[in-house]
Amino acid sequence: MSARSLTIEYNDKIVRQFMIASIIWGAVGMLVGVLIALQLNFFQLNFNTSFLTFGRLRPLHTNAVVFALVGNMMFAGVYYSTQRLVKARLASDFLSGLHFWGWQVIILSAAITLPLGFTRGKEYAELIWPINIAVALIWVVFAVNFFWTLARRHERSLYVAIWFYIATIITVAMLYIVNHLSVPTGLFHSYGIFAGVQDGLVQWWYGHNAVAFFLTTPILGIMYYFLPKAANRPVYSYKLSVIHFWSLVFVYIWAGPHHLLNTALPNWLQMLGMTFSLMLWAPSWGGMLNGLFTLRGAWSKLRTDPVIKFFAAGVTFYGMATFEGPLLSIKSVNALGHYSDWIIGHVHAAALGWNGFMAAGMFYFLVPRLWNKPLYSQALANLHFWLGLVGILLYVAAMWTSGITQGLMLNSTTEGGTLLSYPNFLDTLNTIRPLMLLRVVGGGLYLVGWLLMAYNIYKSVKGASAVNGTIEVVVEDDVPEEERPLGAMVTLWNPPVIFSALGTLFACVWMFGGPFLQIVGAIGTALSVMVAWVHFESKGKRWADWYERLLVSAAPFTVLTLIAVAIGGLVQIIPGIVSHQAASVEDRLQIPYTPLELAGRDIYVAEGCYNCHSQMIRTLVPDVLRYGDYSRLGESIYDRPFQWGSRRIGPDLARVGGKYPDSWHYRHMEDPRQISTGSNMPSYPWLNENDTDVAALPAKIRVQRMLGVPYAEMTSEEIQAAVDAQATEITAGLKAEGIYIAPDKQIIALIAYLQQLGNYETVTENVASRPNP
Amino acid sequence: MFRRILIEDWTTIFTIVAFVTVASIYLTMLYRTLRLKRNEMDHLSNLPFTEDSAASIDSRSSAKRHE
Repeated sequence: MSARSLTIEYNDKIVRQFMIASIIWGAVGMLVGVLIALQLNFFQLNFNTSFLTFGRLRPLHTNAVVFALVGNMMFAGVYYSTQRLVKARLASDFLSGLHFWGWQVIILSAAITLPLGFTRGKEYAELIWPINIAVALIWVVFAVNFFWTLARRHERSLYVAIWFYIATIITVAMLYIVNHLSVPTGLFHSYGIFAGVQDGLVQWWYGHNAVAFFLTTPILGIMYYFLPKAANRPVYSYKLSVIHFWSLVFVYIWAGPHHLLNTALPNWLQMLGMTFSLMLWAPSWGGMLNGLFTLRGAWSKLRTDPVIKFFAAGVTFYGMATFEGPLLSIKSVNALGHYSDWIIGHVHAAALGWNGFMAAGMFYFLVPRLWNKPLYSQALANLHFWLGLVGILLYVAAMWTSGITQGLMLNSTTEGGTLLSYPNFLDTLNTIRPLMLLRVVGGGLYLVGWLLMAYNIYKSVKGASAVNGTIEVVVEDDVPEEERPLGAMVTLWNPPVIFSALGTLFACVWMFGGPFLQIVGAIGTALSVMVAWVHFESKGKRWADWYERLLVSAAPFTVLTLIAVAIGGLVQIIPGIVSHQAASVEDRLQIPYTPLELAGRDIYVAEGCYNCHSQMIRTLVPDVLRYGDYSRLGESIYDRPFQWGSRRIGPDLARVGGKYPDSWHYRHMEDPRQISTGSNMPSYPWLNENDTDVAALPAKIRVQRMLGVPYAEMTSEEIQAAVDAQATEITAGLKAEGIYIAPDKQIIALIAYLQQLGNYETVTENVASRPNP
Repeated sequence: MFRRILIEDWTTIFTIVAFVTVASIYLTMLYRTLRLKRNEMDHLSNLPFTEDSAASIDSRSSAKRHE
């Protein structure tokens, strides 16, 4: 066997760039977070201007934290650790640069378009379609650069961190593309191909797994690399890390429906979401304990080393958040916590504690190595830690208390459960105001800590020379047969894959087939298991060899990981897409919007009303008592995007149509406090000044027709006439009450939309009330 | 095709199907992991400690500074 020596210089410039971008965008995202938290306490801070309202800035905050802070931090960590784990420089400097600058342009585009009201109206998926395409392209650049680097590696084994990165890259691509499938109606607007319940299911399949595969798996990979490095000892149990990986990637993807518990989502999906969420406890805590036990014998460093401090606290918050998540996925607990600040507290325990602290720990670890100079001040880093920790605890405790308080008040009934104890929603909102203020203090402290880190790092690198790591590697020209990567054929044509595929196929036939196919499926499943067992008993070495060679084969490993994560999505989404169409809806069916109502709905979405108002009356007695009959699946079947919401800072609006006169809505939007004393909702004076975009309606209705909404074919003139007729009727009614407003203003379209919420046609008798056959 | 799963009462069986599915994944991975060779485990868990040698000045950054 011949061998030669090679010196490799890592591309650490890209690591530095992503790290600095993460710190800067993180500060921006947190600053916006503090502002919108203040807006909830002081409505005046919406400044009566459209660009700075809560509804438009909240998506900016979430996108900045997820894609800018964590995204940039993740790329820095992935690039730094991957190069060292596979002993290869990143494959392409050009692709690395394109990845970095492309990502920053995307973030900048989001920061501009979201305050302007250009949004798709789905949480963490708000960015408009041209930006979606850019995100997909840049993600492909990242993937090509990463996998190309793996192909050029000089270390054949793939460390577990690399597995987590592979799962991240392929799963995020799959989730992002499916959830952003849209048909454009113009340069800044599109309608998604999914609607109503399908849209809800796909959105939370994406939304939940964005948490799983954007905010968790890459950071776990980072944990498995940086924590042992910082503690200067190997991971506590490499075996546990392997189990952690496979069980996490397989189970996580199924849990999305827990975001839609007690809603109109079919019950079997809710149950799957809840059950798989509960089973996530095991892998999550396995990973958390593995991280903490890695510090065995290094606990003394907690007192002196800020890197260890941040990592230990970050992993602890991972454990707390992954305990709380399954807890909130239990339907009865969710009935209390959902739509309340408890969820906000849960999310921030993970985002600030897990993501933010892991980011800080990694940055403090990297700075001395990337600039070959000690950190400017350990004391400042320690101060950052304590400010951040106290900030998180204040924030989370405030949100837990606030959420449980409001949940209890909203669900409280009297007179034997027939009357609401607190019928006025504002009573519950004003009770939690002190806690919402405490959240500002906690978030503010965390932001101050982050700024201290930025200052500390700035002082550390000022005047220092940037350095790249180098390594000497020995390259062997002849690789033994057993260490060579698997080819595509061997990957798929081998006993474990064949028997797994057969078993899954027959199980599906058993589950989904008719009476005859059920029997075939059951027998086939049983036979597959038995034959597999016999084969394993006699040819077990072939199974073992395949798995061990898989661990050094990046491409086949990637394909099998994709299959593992795709199964859950396919099982949940395909039945919904096939069956939950308007044609098969029972009970109630949504009436398509008139052109003016459609224009009003798009204004509702653009203003981000869904950030505070749900449109989903849950199958819970207090919800029905407060808002009316529970929402049916068919009542939002044409809605693109669905607007079921995730938080009620204001009341549910699913049946607000016809509840109040048009003048009530006019005055409420002009200044909510005219109508609702103590409301924290922004005023929307620009709706009285801006014209409704009627010119865009023909294209929008054409796309809606294309996607299956039963609109009659209409010319532009007919659309204009329909808009004029309905707008004139509304303005005439307002005029009779002393309100003078032109019919072409946005407020008229919005009133038209709000007043039809809750309209439906009855298709069949209520299924639940039918006698059993 | 999906009528049984969507319309009929599958409440009683879904939790069990979910549990069996997940348990089979856990147990399979547990078995595979326990069978991995000790020297292979040691090699993998020590991969982060194959240290870089002394860092070198980022040639491009320093070139820019001297321009």
